[in-house]
Amino acid sequence: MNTHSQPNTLIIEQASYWAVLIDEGELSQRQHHELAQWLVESPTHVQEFLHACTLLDVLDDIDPNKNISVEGLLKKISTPDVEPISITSKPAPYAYEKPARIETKKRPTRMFWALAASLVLSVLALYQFTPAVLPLKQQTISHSVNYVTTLGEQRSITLSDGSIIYLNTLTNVDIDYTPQFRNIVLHNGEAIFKVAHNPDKPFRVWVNGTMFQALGTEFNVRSNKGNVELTVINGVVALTKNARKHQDASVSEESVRLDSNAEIEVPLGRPLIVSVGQQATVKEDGKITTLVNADVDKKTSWKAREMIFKNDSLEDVIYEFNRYNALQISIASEQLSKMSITGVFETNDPQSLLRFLESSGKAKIQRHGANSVTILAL
Amino acid sequence: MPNNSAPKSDSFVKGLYESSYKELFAFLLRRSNNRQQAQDFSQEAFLRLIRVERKDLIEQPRAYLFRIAANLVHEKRLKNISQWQKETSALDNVEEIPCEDDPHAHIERQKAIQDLEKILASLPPIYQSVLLMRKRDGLNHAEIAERLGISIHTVRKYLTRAVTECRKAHSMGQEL
Repeated sequence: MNTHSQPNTLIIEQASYWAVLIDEGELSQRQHHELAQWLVESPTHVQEFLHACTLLDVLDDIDPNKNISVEGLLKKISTPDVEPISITSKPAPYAYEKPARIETKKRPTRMFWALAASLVLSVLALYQFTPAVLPLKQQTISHSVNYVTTLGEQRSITLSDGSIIYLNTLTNVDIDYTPQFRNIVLHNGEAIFKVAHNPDKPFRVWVNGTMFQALGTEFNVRSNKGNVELTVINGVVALTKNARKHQDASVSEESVRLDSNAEIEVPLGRPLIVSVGQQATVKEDGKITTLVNADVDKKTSWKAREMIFKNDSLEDVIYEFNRYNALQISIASEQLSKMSITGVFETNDPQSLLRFLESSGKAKIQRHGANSVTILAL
Repeated sequence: MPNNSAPKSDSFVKGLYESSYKELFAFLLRRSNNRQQAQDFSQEAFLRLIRVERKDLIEQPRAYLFRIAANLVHEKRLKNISQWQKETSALDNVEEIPCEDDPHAHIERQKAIQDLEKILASLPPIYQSVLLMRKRDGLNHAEIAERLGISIHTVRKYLTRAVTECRKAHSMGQEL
């Protein structure tokens, strides 16, 4: 497929969201403003918005004879499992295995429907959202699915509970939904987790022994050189070091609330509560450093394939570029590595940085073959 | 079926469904050969939108954009672009665009309906359900939420995903 004609999923999703809101009724003043702002950001936004509105309009006329039964569809809905609903970029061949789906079709639910047709919907709601009512046999079923992104690849996975995971370059996660928990293991790399609310089934991200538990929220986790960095985009996340597998780290009196920039020691097993806009980094030595005013835009810009630098050292800037590109850059000058860089770059465009450095008159670029360059002081 | 639901969006298009709009819809829905044109219209609509100084005064962004884009289709038909440039900043007189019925646009729409029915059938059941409840049965988000025992927020999320999937599948079709 021609990738130029397919705008990224994020834009399609945003366009769909606005079209869905408008489809139902009037927007509030604030929403009008937001929509107008969003539309003027790009012609692609306008185009996708028009397209989504058109689709929604045409959808008015589907199935005019009501041949499809909503009740029938709802019966088919299974409990949340790990089957992804959509995968937005081309998966690496080994990255996606369709999980075994042995449980959904044969579930002994039919008698419920036959006995209490009028209760169908409420029973279904229970079924879907409280796994505790499932037959015992199913509770023992747990799948684990592995997703891997290669150098420069990004991908989003929509899970059947509605949660979305955005994977950044060189990332490896396992998704393991059990009847009690939604577990994600981040082996390496970086991901944003947009968590569907379900208080009965905590969503937890594991990095080594550290657990991040969220209830209906959005956060970024990056595992980098032994440090694990959490940035909370929305809501609240409970961070627990050396967590136990069955620990439910919801907010309680036990928990410690993050309220200042500091380096802190959190007692083992006690959750640290990190709220929207805050950042906590678990260091290799187990200490946690915190930031109450994190730069969330900077931490999440990768989702739009951008990197934002604000007085970052060239050394750090190059480290970031090297995460995404086959072209590996090194610096041969101590002085240049400390040079301060501010700007927005596309993750896959290291050449723009090199051109910028050359034009600064402070550096020259030495190329060795296709995938390696060194920055030298002039 | 409850009749106190929010008005369905057909009031939007049927209200202003003159031929330029029909043609615009056809452009937006049509396969390969006219996709470029649809993009051009969107591009031009965008350029006109950013020229508007007080965007917060645009009360109905959707009607406004469709108006611009439909005007562009019309302009193209008249091959007289200059005459219409000043007209796009107001929202009234939407129905005044002269019309000549375009049977081709009608066929495009029928084709799009069939395509979407196929796409719909391939979506996860929960997406199919919310889309049908909203679009076919005309329930509003709150009513769907109540029927399913989920929050309005979740209903909107499912609808958004469903439209996203339709859009993606629809553009795949264009590539064929």
